[in-house]
Amino acid sequence: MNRRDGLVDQLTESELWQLASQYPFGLRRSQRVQQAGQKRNTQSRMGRDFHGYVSYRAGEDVRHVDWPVFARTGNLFVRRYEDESFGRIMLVVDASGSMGLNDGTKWLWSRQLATVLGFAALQDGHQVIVAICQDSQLFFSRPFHGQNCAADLYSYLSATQPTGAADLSKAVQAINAPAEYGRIVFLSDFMTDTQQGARLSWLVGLAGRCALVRILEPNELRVKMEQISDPESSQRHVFAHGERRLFQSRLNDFERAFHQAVGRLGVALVDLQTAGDFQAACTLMMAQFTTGKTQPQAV
Amino acid sequence: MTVAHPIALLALAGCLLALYVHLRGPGHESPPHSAFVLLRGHIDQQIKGIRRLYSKHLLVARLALFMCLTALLAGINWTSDGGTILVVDGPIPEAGDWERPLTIVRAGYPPTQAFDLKTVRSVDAEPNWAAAVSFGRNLTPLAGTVRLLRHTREKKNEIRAGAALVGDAVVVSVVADTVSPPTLMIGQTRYDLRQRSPDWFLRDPLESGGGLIQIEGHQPYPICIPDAKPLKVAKTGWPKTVASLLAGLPNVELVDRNEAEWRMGPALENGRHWTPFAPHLTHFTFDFKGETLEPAVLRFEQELPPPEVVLERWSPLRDSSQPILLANQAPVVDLIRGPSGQTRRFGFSPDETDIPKTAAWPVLFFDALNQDRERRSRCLEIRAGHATVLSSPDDVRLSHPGGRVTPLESRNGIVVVPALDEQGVYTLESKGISAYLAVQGGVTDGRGVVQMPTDTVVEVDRTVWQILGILIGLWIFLIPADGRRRWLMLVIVVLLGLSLIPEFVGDREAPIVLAVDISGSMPKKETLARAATVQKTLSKRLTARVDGSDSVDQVVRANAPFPEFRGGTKHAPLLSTAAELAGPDGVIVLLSDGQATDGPVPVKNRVFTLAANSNRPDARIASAFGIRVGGVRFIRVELISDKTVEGRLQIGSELVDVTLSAGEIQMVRTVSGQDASSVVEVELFVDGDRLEDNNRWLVHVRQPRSTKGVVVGSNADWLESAGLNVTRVSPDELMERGAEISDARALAVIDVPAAAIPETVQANIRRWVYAGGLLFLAGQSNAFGNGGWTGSQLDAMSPLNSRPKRPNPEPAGVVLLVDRSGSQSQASGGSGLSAVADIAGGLSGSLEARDLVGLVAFSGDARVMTPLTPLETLNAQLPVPTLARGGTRLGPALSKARELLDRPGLFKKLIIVISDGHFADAEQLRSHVDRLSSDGVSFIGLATGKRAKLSTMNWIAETLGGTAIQASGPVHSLVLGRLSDAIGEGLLREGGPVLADPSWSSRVGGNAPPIDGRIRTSLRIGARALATAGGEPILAEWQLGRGRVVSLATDRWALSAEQWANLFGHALLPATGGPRLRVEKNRLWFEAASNRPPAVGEVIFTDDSGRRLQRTWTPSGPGRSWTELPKGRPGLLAVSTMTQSGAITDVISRSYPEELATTGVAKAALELQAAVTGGLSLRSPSEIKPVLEAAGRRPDPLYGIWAGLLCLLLALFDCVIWTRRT
Repeated sequence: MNRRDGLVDQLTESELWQLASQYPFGLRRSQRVQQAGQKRNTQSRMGRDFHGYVSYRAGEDVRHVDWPVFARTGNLFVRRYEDESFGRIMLVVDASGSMGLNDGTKWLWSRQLATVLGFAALQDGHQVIVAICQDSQLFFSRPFHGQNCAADLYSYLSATQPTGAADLSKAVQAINAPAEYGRIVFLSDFMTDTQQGARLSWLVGLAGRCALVRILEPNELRVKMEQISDPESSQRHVFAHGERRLFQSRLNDFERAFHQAVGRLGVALVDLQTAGDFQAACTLMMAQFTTGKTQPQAV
Repeated sequence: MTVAHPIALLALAGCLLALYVHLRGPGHESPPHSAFVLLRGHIDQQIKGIRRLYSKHLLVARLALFMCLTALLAGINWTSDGGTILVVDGPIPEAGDWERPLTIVRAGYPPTQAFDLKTVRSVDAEPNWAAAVSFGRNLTPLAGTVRLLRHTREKKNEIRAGAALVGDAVVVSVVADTVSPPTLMIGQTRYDLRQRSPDWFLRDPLESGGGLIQIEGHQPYPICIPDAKPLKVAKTGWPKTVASLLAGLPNVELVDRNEAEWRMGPALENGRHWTPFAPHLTHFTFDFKGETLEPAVLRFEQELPPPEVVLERWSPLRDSSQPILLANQAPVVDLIRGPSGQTRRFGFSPDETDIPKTAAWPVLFFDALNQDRERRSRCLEIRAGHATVLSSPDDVRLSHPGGRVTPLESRNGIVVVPALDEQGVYTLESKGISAYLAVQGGVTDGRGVVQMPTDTVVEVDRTVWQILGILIGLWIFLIPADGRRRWLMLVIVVLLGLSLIPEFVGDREAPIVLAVDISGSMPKKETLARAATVQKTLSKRLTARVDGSDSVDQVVRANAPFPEFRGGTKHAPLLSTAAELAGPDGVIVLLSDGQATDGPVPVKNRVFTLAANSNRPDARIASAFGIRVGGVRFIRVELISDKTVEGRLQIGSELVDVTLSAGEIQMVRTVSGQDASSVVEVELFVDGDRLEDNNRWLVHVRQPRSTKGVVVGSNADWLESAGLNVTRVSPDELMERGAEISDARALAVIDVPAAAIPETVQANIRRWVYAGGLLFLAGQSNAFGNGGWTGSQLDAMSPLNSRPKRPNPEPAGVVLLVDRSGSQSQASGGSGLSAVADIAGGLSGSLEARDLVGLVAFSGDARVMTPLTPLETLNAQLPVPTLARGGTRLGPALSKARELLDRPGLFKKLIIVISDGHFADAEQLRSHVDRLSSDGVSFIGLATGKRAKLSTMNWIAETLGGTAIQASGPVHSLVLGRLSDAIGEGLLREGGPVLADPSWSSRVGGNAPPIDGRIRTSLRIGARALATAGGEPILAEWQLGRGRVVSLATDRWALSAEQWANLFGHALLPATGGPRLRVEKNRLWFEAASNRPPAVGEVIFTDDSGRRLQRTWTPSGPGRSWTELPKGRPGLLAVSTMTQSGAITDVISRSYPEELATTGVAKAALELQAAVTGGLSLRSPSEIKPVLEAAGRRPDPLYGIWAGLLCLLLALFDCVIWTRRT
């Protein structure tokens, strides 16, 4: 792994793959399937049972579209098949302007951590969906399944540049079929949600099966300059006399409220700073998903 | 002022972008912070909006400055509202309502400026539009409009003419729409032409050189007049076969070697180009270098009938530039030309081959003779707009028709005459020798007016400044107003100062223009890759790119997409346009395959050529030919590849694996009896073929109109198995059914006595053969010597002499004893004595010249009419005895005969008695017979007349050895038939093995099966033996007139059907001679005899889909016209035309475009192109260093100074604003 002054350089796909191969990925199977006494997953059709139809979404493999149904109804439906063995994970990656702060190290970490996580999941035979959260919208990737999808996953993440605002609460609303999406991992700086009193309130519905990976720059929570601008818009602000100190206290309150909410909801949180060692960060993050080391969250 | 210019539009768009960035971007050093979200409510509540840190006045000032900068940069190329560039190709009668001032450019080679529209000299070549537009732009950059004006040429004012050698005179043919007679001017001599529908003609031994056809109201038309004088040929030194041929060729004057134009001598230098100033000298070499090569079949390089000769010992000729005869695709007879004369080289010794026995031999020398007679005119007909390359060690003066003189420099022995765009006779002079160029116009093969973006200017030298100016403007506009500003300003000032130094901005170096050949033969993938590499390597040094094939397709900046690859290759439009863009000292890089048809182009700029090499092969079908004979279809396909490859050839439904060697023609032949279709699709499949358009051919399977064969006699199945439609005719019917022979292509006379075919019929057969028929003479028992052919017309036509060769060198003695008693009179029932005259006439066919012949007439006594005399001195004149009264006594006659034959040195003694057999002294003959027997005399007795009695003659024959027969038919044929038998050793032989002669393989092929029996014959001088048995020929052939005679000395031989077809191949092909249609290089040629007028009028083509297309014949000389084939995909075209020689209908195969017929890189042409302009031939795109070195400096400081001053002003103004604000 290339390192330079504590920053992670752009890692190649093969390097990330090597990194991911160090971590076994443990994921419990879907509840519904487990209840039926079988290990099942959906999407792929090879050797699997037909499960039902769902509406087609952009990005899905058109081979799964049921064309006779389309011919009859005019609506695009995708056949779902139940897999016999594999689980599913969704990676929600915040790609707002704040993630591209300064030289974009936060975004790089976020993207590469998501890649490692995704690779590790693919390696263990799980299905991975990547959701890029940008401009208050979710951009879903097609479901990746199998190691040969690693390159696509990598490309999907690499093609995005952080810009605009991100509203994770709206993103969660967009995930409208919780049981379908299995386990959810949010990768963000979580510098949002200022208007709502209850921090992370949007996570309530998913609290039982999601994990948060927070990525911050060193000293990001300290305000030392006299004027600041909004990385997600063109707004800027020059602090008046004494205003900076007031702003720092508000920031401290915000941070405190965040940790309280995490504890209250009982979600797993991995707090990372980009000044640290990337591999150590990977180890720390993957501990949440590695069978045997920590108790995995049931989905 | 206008903003229509792209640069100005770009700048305006840049302004909008800058404004957007100004509004969006941080106006101050406000570092982004992720916790800004916590401030949003605070800002919304307390500040209510975004606070702008920048002054609005500064923004306005910056915008204004930026606009000014843009205006300056774009203003250089702003179009003014006035001025028009008129590009013309001839005089325009009236000026239009165009914006003035007018800049008139003549689209010639090279483009030139003209000052009066009405007096512009006509461009008789394809106008050089693209170069002319660029030239006009250089002359008047501010002109608002460019107009291309075509000069109207009236078709009726066109002249088409040509001259050709016919025997010892020159025939000139002129086709023009005129009532006043054309005149031919050669120098100051004037000749009037005579009218002959549809042309005007002249036949005269004219003075050679360049001539001008003049008709009132027409543009004079130049032609070359060949030299009709006899060629001086050395008397001695030739190989035997050549000497005998030269002695008989017309228009040859045999002189001493030193005065001769044709002589034996060492090979002279090979110059490869036209040598107008070379002496009239041709050396002949016959070199067999002793190489051991496989026997090879000869064929002409041109479309001439194959000689059907196998060379046993031959050497391929190295460094051949103009092959004439090929053996196994290697040249064995060729012509090389150099400044000191030319050499005709033979790679074999003709005395060792049987080519002198074929029709190819005189054809070879006759063509060479006429070529060299023509060459002495030192004149070349070329098309306007095409360059010419000469071999000349000295400089040359080129005199134009108007009197202007251009000196042409000789570089490395080569002189390039640039493309001449005006029709006329140009004179070349060097060291007191004059040569002529007849530049003929009016024929264009380009794609008409070029699609050049005339409203777009290609800036060749200001790109760097424009980009730099825009960047500086944006920079000044966007730089933040912080503490570091002053340092940035300082940097700007320093940079602008530096930019005034030409070497710093690199703008003053000479422009480089890339000219890319995008013709159909270019390998697209490799060309794009090479062009990309050149563009990348030269990057900003490349000022423009010109893409074109036979005309310029586009003039663009580097890296622009390429148009479709299509069309032929011409370098003149491409390079002259590039030259105009490059300016006086620019450099041109030409990316091409060198297959240009218009020769090297001597532009003023240095041209660096880069070959479009490809590792992929190009295999193609060179030609395909099909013919159906009977139910059998023969297809012949010639394949060629520039690399050794393996592939598959599909011929109809058959698939053949082929292996093609690099540069060698591979011939594939198939024979099929199944497929009845008349069109066969042939396609070649080779992996990785870079040009697949030339892999397909549609073959029209020809069915000769007349494959009718007439068989007289037996064995009709021989002709049937060869595919002929056989009609059997008995000898008696020949006279009545003569018409059936005349429209047959083959006539077989098999085992029929000559006497059975009337003399008049034989004479008709002879005329029919001379007109092109195939006569097959065969037989055994009733043919040749046994059939009484000796002395007949049949025998005269046969390549096999009915009289076999006698091995004994001594003469034979023959005495004719003719009964002249009264009983011999026809009134008394006798045969008459006139038979003696017939016998005398036929003796030469049965006896040899040295044999001795005597005549004794007897009745009551005997009288020696002619003593024993050699046949050659007898000269077929035997005195005919007169009838006498009295009885018939043979004894005295036998005694006289014995006396005559009693002489030494006779290997055979024979007496022939012609009588009715009633001898008064029959009882007293014993003593005479015994004496004759002791002398070894043989006997032939003919009992003639109605009262013929054989008993006495039978007894004599038994005693002496011989035969006695009763004559029921013509006496002379019986005598002569038996004579050969008696003199020789008998005519019939048993069967046995057959030995194939060298020509067997090329004429018949396969194994020669044994024969069941044969008749003895001998080979005539000039005939070619194909097979022998027992040391004597049994199969031979020769050419008679345009026809052919094949003789076979048996009627029992089991050849295969294919062998018979090969043997009768001459009959299966269309008859030679007469007008014909020929396809060559996408042109259809009409070729008739030179004393016939050329074809004029319309040609109707009908393609596969039934579409009718009309073209017009273009006469090009006596008996010759051409027309362009309609363009389209490969397929068949039905042709129909009416000529003076009658209506002609035919089906021709339209192949792929000529451009695709020669692919690969013509390295020599590219090297020559580079050499004539002082450039180099680059081996790879990375070797671009010489190009950069060649791009010289170009002084243009004014623009740099103005731009630098403006930037300095900008910087100062910005500093003032900054100072005020702080």
